[in-house]
Amino acid sequence: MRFRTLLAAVALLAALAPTTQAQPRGSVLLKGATVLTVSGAGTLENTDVLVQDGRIARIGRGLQAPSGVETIDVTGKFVMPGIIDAHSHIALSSVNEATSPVTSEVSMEDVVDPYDIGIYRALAGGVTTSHVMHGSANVIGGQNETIKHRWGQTDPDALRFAGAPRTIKFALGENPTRVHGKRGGGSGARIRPASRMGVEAVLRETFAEGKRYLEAQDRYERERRTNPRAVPPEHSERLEVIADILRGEVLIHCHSYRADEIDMLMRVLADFGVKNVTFQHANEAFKVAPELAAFGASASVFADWWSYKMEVYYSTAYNATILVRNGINTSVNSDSGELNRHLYHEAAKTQRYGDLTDDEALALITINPARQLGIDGRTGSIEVGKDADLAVFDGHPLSVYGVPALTFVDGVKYFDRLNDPDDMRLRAHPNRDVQAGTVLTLDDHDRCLEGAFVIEY
Amino acid sequence: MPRRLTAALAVALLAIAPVAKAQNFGARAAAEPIPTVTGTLAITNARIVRAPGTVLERATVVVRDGVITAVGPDVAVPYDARVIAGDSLWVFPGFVDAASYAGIPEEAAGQPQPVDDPDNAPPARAGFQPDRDARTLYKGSDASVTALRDLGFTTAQVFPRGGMLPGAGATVLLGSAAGPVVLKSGAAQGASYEAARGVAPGTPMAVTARFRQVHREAARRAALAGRYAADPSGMAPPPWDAAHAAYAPVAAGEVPLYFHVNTALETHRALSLSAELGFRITLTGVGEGFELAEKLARLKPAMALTLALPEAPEWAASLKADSLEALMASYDPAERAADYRDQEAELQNLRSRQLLARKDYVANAATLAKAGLRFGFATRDAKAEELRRNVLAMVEAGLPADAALAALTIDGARLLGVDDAVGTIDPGKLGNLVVTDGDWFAEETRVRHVVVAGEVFEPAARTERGASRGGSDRPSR
Repeated sequence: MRFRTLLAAVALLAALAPTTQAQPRGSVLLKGATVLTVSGAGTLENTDVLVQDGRIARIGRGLQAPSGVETIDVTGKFVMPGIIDAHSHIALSSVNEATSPVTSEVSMEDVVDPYDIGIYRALAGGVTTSHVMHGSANVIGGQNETIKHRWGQTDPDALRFAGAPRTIKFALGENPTRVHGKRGGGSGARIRPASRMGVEAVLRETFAEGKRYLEAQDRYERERRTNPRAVPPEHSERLEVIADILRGEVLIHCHSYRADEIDMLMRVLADFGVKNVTFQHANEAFKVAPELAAFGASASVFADWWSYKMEVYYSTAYNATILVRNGINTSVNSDSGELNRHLYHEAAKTQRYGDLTDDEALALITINPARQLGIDGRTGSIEVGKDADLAVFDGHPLSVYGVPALTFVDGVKYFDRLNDPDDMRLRAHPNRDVQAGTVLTLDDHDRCLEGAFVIEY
Repeated sequence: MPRRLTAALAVALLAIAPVAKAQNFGARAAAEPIPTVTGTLAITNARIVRAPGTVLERATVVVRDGVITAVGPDVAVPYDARVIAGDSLWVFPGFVDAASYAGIPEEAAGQPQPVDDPDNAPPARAGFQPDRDARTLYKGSDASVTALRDLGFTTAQVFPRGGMLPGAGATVLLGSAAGPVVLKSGAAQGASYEAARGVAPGTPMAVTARFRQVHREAARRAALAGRYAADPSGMAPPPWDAAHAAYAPVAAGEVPLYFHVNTALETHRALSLSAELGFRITLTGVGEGFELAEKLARLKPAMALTLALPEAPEWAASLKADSLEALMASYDPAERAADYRDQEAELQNLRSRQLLARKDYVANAATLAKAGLRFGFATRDAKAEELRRNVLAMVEAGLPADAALAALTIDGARLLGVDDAVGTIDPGKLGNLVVTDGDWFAEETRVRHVVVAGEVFEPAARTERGASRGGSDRPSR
């Protein structure tokens, strides 16, 4: 059977191969920039970056482009790693499956929308990778997807960040209690959780159920070796994923605000032996920074965004700095198809509030979120061998004069401010009303922080 | 079919004719005061398009008791035949609708009722009813049947409506029978990304997850059931429910999902899901197939293309054809307004692009045919009065008329696995014919008769705008 599984895996890989090959890779020589490596190498003045076949091949001075490779003079400009948005809802056909407090079976990878103009807008802000997430309606929401912004590819599979670990959305506090306990989902049936206590109960019960499922599977796997008539347990897409979380194969990204609920989730995870968690939003994370550090948890926060509902009033713009100074891997995210276009400003705010160094501030939107998504071996810093996901800025990206000029993914240029026509959509609708100047995405309706708005399905 | 076999079949049919007549028309005879005089029909001296590209001039087709017994230029007219003088008329094979709602009543709309557990809503609410069967829902007296037949459709694969797994399809004749006259059943399970309202699965991602759930659990149950049937000792009886049992042939790869996909994204997703779970797939709809023509050409899925087309944008209604052409010609993909206040230039460019975008939809069938794909047609999303206009528009956009006719007839029949019974005008096949006063693909042509297994219908006269002025739900005789 093992051999069969292996064969199936090989066959599957063979079937997927055309897709991975189809992902375009570029070669280019960027000459003469200030390179912000966000690695041990720090900032390199007047330096060239050679990209070959989608990877960073060499970093140094006086590099020559191999024949056929384009050279772009970026003297006076700044090259930084492509920005990584650890919390986004762009490029999705649906966001919230709000019909149950636990919907681990759904996955954003099934609803990636490569036509969303939000991808191009993100590129225009130097963002090359987004962690596109399920909404926050459910205690245990759907699985998220890490995508690269390969604008122009229309096969959803072509946006996949191949090899990125699986992640899942959790949500605590007001959103799941309002959606299920107070409003009754879309059906009017009011069910648990209606309170923060209920949220914890849902978590514990689901983990316990997942544990039983996992044990039943293990028992079956053992039994079938000696008994050909062993009966496999009933299949559950939902509990498969919970079991995989317990096995440590799925990283948790949890929507949270208050310190008490952050502490609660760490206790629950400790009880079930789950280690890898990133707290999203986490406006009160600064209150439990030592506890987060002790647990080894990460935090992905806003620079200075709060007071949009009761549980987000106790906030500070020093949150990111306090977390960084406590040794917590911290990122700054957008959760918005607008804010993601100036994440470099958001990162810079931590210098105004907290005096983070340039490297520390840039790490908040590059290597730190890469670690939170498990893709730091591939991206998040400018190092030889890493993917050539690069953002070129006119002016230092942490300065108000920093403006994105070029954005590369896998060495392919997807954004060029000098070649940026008015209509960059991949396609037009055959009859929907055409209104110049109002071609907006609708992701604001779905993003998960807006407690004041009703979450639409 | 070899000629000798055909002759033998004709003789055999002659021999059983009285019995067959009684079976065919007996039920109706009881309900109607005037009995049918003859079960034989001859259309004489007509231009017979036997199959796409095969035309017989001044030929005769004979149908006896529902089945074509002879077709050709030198065919004798049987003494008992009702004769339709076909001089100056054209005869086409009856059209095949590969995914249809003809005769399937609309579901009662209205405000959805609250449910106790939105995660486990009743199957009808969740759109999860693979155990339904179109045969039990089909009503031959429905106006939708008449409307489709008046256009020349004589065979349709009909599906239950609504939800991700609405039920099994059945290929039926669009004749006068009140119930379904079934050519094929148990050969198609409907599927779509249609989410439920207010209950699970409420989004396309949840629909996808539920497909995985039902597929894997149905496969598990089927395996257990097989094992239990072979040897029940030492085993508890396996679980059973109607939905999983109905889905089991899909999980086993025996029956395809007729997966309705409206958009390019749904098309990508359904193909991925089919590859992942290993179910057989026939795509229906595929109105944005042009967006992934290369992939479709590579994978060559079975397809029934929608005959619905997007309406023209409202703002274009007041513009004349040459203005629209000029606007399209002015499209500049690199347009960049010098000033953000200069919205007029941008607006014009957006409109120009919109017109071009709509052209892609009209040319969808042409694009896919050019990519080497064969397909049938599906009417489920289209209004009857726009069907013919849309086919003509597709032909004008580059779909060869023969390819369009093939899609309407033999390719549709092959897709449904009923090409030995319908799809061309050949002896042994059912007497499904469309009789017109000209080429069906010419705008001014009118359908004069539609023959369904020998039953002759006279389509209602239609006004300029295509609305029917009364149906023809009874065959003439």
